[in-house]
This record gives sequence, structure tokens and C-alpha cells, in this order.
Amino acid sequence: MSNLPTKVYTATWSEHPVWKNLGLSLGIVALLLIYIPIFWLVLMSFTGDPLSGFPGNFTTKWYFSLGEHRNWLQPLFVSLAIASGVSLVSMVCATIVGRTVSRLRRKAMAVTVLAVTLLPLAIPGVIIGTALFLYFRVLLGFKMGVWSLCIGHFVWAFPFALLAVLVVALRFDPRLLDSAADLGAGPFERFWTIEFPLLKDGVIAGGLFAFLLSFNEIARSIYLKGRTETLPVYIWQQAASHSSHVVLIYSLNVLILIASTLLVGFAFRLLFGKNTQ
Amino acid sequence: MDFYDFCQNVQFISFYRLLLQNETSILFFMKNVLEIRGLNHAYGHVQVLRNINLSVTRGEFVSVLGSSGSGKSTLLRIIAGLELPTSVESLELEGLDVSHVPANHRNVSTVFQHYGLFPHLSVGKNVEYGLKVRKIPSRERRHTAEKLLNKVKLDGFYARGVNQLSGGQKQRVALARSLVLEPSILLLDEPLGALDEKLRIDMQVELLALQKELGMTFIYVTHSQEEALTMSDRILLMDQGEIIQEDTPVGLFDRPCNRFAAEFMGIENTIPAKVESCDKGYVTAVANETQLRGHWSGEEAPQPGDAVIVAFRAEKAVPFNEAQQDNNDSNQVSGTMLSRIYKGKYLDVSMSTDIGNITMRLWDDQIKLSKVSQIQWKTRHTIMLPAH
Repeated sequence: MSNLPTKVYTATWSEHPVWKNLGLSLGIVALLLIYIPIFWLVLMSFTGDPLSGFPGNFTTKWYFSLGEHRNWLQPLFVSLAIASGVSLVSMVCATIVGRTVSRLRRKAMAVTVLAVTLLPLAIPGVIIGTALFLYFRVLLGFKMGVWSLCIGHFVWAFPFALLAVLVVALRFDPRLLDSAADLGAGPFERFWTIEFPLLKDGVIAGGLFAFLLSFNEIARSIYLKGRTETLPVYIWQQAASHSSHVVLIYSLNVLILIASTLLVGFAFRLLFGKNTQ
Repeated sequence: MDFYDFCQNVQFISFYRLLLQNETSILFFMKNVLEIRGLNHAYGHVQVLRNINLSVTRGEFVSVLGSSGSGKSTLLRIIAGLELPTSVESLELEGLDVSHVPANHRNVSTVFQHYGLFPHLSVGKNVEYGLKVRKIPSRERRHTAEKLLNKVKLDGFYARGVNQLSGGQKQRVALARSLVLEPSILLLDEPLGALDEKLRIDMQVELLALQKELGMTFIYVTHSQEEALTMSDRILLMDQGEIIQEDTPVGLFDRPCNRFAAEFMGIENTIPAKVESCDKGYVTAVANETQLRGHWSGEEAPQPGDAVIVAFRAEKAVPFNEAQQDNNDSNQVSGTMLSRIYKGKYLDVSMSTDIGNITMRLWDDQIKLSKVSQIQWKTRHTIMLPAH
């Protein structure tokens, strides 16, 4: 006896092809919303009169005038210095915490440590900025400056660096350290010759993320900067004022955009590009 | 003292002088390379090793046999120094107490089942790793590594990445990486477990040849009785953290000391019985009014009335007819056939008897079997074991 279908197949509402098409079109709309403004920015940076609001009369003169008006150089160096410091400290801390978390035997313990270290991700930047300001400036009476910017940025950047390190730390096979010990390597040698080379990509990627997050940071910086000026704060101030340098912001932003895209691309390549294990 | 005696003395003295010249040569003549007394190990409240005593002679091939969870791998990790024992009376390697010495300061090396090769290093750099740790200059390192790769039949693999290797090749690299250090003992933790059947058998032969060639002491952990029987000079059978029996392959195979050992060594038929009498190593026992005889294989001789297990291998049991009867040195019982299972090389016939089910292994698959028949097996192929 054969089991032939008793009635003709018709698609139910959830099987209707419209959903697939709808998903695709919404996705495209979302991507356009993200990329059109960026594309517009790039376009305007080559426009003769960007403040008019319409592209045209294309030129590269704004890029050249960046070289003449050098007010942005000082904030750039401050931002680079802070970002480098934050990135370095984040790499070290993320390595320490990352390899600890991946070794904790009890899962509850690992989850707790992760929750505590990653929580700052969930706290809005303005709140952390205000909290640090009230604590250091108002309560302890310290003067804000580069050091407070570093602390604020570190709180922000560290969880991301940790996540990047965790990607590789959880992939790391701790039995390799048994092999190394068995072959005569002491604790430091085991870390330096076996574990670190295998974590290296994640650590560098984490460092790059931390660098970018610190470099772009503005919400916390407003509270913590004191008299120090970072590049994002400088750009924001210039854009908000009616200074004649506003037009330069377009070209400056495009340069930063290119540099950060390259950095992020490199970081992702390190993390997920080649699967060595 | 005549001239001959004089010569003998001179020889004797120079022999000792030679010995005393360096420490290692003295160590070489010491008999036991490993000596463990009263070793206990626990993870929290779980006792994983109980009162382990073990002596290993230089050049010996010792297998530690047991099922998973028997503690055999933990024992190996403790010998390697990867774990320090919870308590131990003495743990001596080459006559030196190492009970608190971590792995990197012990001259033993392990070949792991998971290979443990460093994925970011080439084959050659993996093999050299231990030498690099010991600060051997790089040219010498390379020379030694090439030599060892040659020994494990991996010539020309020096620059390869370890991820391009097959399982068998990885195992050879791991072996070379350990051998390069010339350890006092090579510890092998189920090294062939991840390999396929054919390769495993080839590697068994190769490992054994290598061990004989190098004269090195091997301690080999395995769950496969066939592997242990093929390769070892001596086998330690472990169960639940204890050494159940310590014997040569033949001894363990023919004379397991208790029911667990018997079943682990693949003795198919175990029948509970009660001791009737006992003389000169032979025990007569009764199972459901059937008298059975066999030799005692436990430790202390049993008393009449004690519960015992009568054990014999399926291939020793044969169907028989009245014509070829020889009652004196055989046990006999009649049974009804339950099933016959064709296994290719042989035929397993399961019989229901008064004393329980008995499996016969028949090598002649053309044999004609009647539904009801007599089963016979020699008393010298029957062993009697303590019931608990």
C-alpha cells in the first residue's frame, strides 16, 4: 500500500516566498542607511564648497589645506598617545584575564569573572564618564587630564580586548602545556614559547580594537579631559562652532575612516582569517 | 696469589674505576629505574589511585592495562610529574626521590594519545623543542632532530607543518620529540588509540623494535589487552585505582587472579561454584550438583565450602560424543543449544546447561551440532578464582 498525499500541496502563510524577499529588501535598506551618510561624507570632502550642502565642483584642495592649518595635529598626537597606552595595558590585562577564564574549572566561576569584567560594556559611556568625574574630581579633588582619559578609555576598551583574547584563549589546548612541561620547559618558558605564540593573534587584535575605541571615544572624554583635547573632541568642537576650519573636518574624517577601516580589517584577519589550529 | 688471580683483581679494579668515573655509568648499573611505594592519589574526595607499589627494571617494557577510569593514565601522569601525588611513601627515579619534583625537572618523557604537537612549530622545531629548552646550540639540535626523524621513518619532514601530517605521522613526530631527550623512561599514554586498526598493528611492531634497539624502558598505558599481550614484558592490570594483578603476558592470560582479571582478559565462561576439596593446587568444586575440577589461580588457597568462580575460555570447550570419552582430566556437562553466531574465523555457540550458560568457540564452521549435546573442557584449562 502506498502512502500518496491525500490532498494537493499549498504553501501555508509562513512558507510564502514573500518573507525571503522582505528580509532581503529590509537588509538592503538598513545597509543603505548606514553607508549613504559615510559615502556622502567622502563625497563632500572632495566638494569645492561642502558647506553649501551639495556635491559638485570637485577638488582635493581641502586635503592639502589640512597640511597648512595644523591645529588638529596636537589633538591627534594626544589621541594617538592615549590610544597606544590604553591599547598596551588592555593587551596585557586581557591576556592575563583571558587565560585565567579559559582555565577555570568551575563554569559558574568563569561566568562570574566574565560578567564582572564585561559589565562596563553595558554601562552607558556618559554614566561611566560622570561617575569617574564625580569620584576623582569632586570627591578626591584630582585635576583631570591625560591620566583620567586613560582610565576612562581603559574601562571602555578593556572588555573588547578581552573578548578578542577569549576567542583564541578558548581555542587554546592547555594539554600543549603538559607536553611542554614534559619536555622540560618551566612555567615562564611554557607561556612564552607555546601559549603566547598561539594567543598572539587574539592579543594583537584586542590591542587594535582597544586602540580604535580609545581613539574614537568622546562620551567619556568630555567629562574626563580637563584641559586636554583629543581629536574626536576637537572635531566635535570644530563642527559645532562656526569656525572657518569646519570644511577641513570632512577630509580629516575621511582619513581617519580609512585608517580605522584598515586597522579593523587587519584585526579581524588575525582573529578569524587563517585557522591555524 | 698467583698470576691468574692478580689479573682478575686488576680487571676487577679497573672495572670499578670505570664505573666511578662518572655518575651516569653507576646509575646505568642500578637495577630499578623506577621505584614506587605506597602511592595514593585523590581528586577531592574521589580516590583515583590506592596503595600503588611498582618497580620497573631498566630496559623493561611494562604495560599498564585497564578500562577507562581505572586510574592508569593518572598513574602515568604522576610518574611524568604532571601531577604530584596526594601521598606517597617513596617515588624514586634512577634512585633519586622525585615525589615533589615537577615534570620539567624529571628525565622522563611522555607520548600522549592526543600527540600534543605544537601547531605553530614545524615538525623539526617540535622535535627540537626539548633540546632548545636545554640550551643545546641550534646546529647540534638540528642534527639530532634529523637523526631521530630518520629513526621514526620521517626523513625529509623537518620543515613540514605539523597540521599537514596524518595521525600516524603525528604519532611518530611525538615519539621522536620524546626520544630526542634520551629519557630514563618513555611513558606512552594510549599512543596508538587514535589510529586505525591496520596502522595500529604496524606501529606496535615498530614500537617494540625501537624499544629493543634503544634498550629504553617503556611504560605503556593501554585499554587493549591484545596490545598489552603483544608488546609487554610485564603487565599491570588496574581496576578502580588499584593494581589487581602484576604478571607476564602468559601469566595474566592463563592465570588471572580474580573474576575481574578473568573477565578483562576475555575469559568468556565464569560459573559460580562451591569448593568441595582442594589438593596440590587443584580444586574440586560443585556447581548445581555437577563436579568441576581446575587449578587454583587466586592468592590464598580456598577452604572447602568457599564460594569460587570456575572460569574457562570458550575455545577450550568442545562438543564431544561418548566414543572419545576420557573422563579423568576433563569437566563435562550436557546442554541445549541457545544460539550460534557466525564470526567469520570461528563460530560461537551458546549452550544452556545445568550450571549456567556456556559459550563454545568452534573453529570448524562445518561442524554438525545436535540440539542437545555434551560439552567437555580439560581441567588444566580450567581455573578456579575467589568469588569476590
